[in-house]
Amino acid sequence: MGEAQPERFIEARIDVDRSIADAVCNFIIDNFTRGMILEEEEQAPTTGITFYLPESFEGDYKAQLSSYLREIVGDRELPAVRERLIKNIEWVQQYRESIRPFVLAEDVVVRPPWENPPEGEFIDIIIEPKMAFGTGSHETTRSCIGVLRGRVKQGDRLLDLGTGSGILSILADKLGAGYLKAVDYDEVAIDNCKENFEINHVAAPHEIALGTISRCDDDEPYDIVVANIIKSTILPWIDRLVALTRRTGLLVLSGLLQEDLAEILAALEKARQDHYRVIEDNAWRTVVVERK
Amino acid sequence: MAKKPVGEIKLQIPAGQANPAPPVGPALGQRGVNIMEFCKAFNARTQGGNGVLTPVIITVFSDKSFTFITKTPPASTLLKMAAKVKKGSGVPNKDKVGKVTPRQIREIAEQKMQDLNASSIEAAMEMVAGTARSMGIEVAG
Repeated sequence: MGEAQPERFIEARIDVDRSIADAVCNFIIDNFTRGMILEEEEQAPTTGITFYLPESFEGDYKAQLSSYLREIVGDRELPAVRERLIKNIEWVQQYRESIRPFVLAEDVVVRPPWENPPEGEFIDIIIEPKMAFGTGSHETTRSCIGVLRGRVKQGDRLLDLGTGSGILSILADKLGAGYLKAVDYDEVAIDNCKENFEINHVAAPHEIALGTISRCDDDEPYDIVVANIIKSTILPWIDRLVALTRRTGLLVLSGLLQEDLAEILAALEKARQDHYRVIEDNAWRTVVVERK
Repeated sequence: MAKKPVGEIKLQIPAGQANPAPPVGPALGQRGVNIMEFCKAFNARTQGGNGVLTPVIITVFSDKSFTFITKTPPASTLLKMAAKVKKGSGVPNKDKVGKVTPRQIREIAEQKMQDLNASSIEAAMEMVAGTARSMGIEVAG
């Protein structure tokens, strides 16, 4: 993640005898790309292997694959490679169509632009669903929205690390935040965040920054810091995150699983932050720290 | 009412590194699954895996929600680790890239027994040895 994706990809599919499927997958991984889709019908003797290459892929992958297959199938018939060109937009469009509005924290609606807001008094957040995290349906987004809904006060300064679609910052703006800083290391997310800030007419002064926590090195402490990311990213940042939260402010750590908690809580204790609560939502955990 | 499973998606992707690019994007997008939510969950669950190729089976339900299970790396990946090689051979009948012992073949077969759908440990070992031959990894010692 982090870089813009090519506009078009070659989608290649080959059906091979199950006995050689693992070796063929390995050849593809070793030489062309880092992942694949496998299809195995029950009782069928073959495995369908689908993989993707950027349209600009250099080299004759079909000739290389055929030459390898000739080595391992001997005199048997060579499986054929079928290919077609697909556009990035095709699956993004299919994904977009699946997004529905959500009501969170009782009165917060998160909806795509083409859905109408529900009747009644709601905080209305519009998210253009693209390839950035945060459309309102995920447990961690839900937990963070619940925390922010009950906590953001007029004029608060908020730092949103791993902002994704910008959903948490947008909520903070609608609750009266006085300054927002939204940071993400993925430029696709940053573009989507900017777009969503515009759609929602974010009024608070703000900065949307491409990068990591190092983009906050010179920042004054914030009233609220939220990091909905992943344990492996959050853990080495704990001391910095605590320092970026002002005394009596709130630090919200999310994107965590139950098995991540012990290390996160130990790091918080080490940073002398023992005033916290854990929100559970299905498999996901959110740690809410009252900064001492 | 219980949610109804409507499909299954099998992928092999590096641990902790799922992103919306292919193959994840097209595989999940066409089923209406929230691609970014899968990436977040997969990466959280496999973040200690050092990018090792990981098979994942995603079950999609009628309401577009999903669950997934991850499996141990494919036998070919375990063979490369056992032989301490980065790549298999492109011309395995001619160029050998490494060696594993019969004991290592047995260990890998035991680890992959369930996924290989083999009737006995010997049958599983034969399958793993066949994959090793197709990668230019010799079984000796």
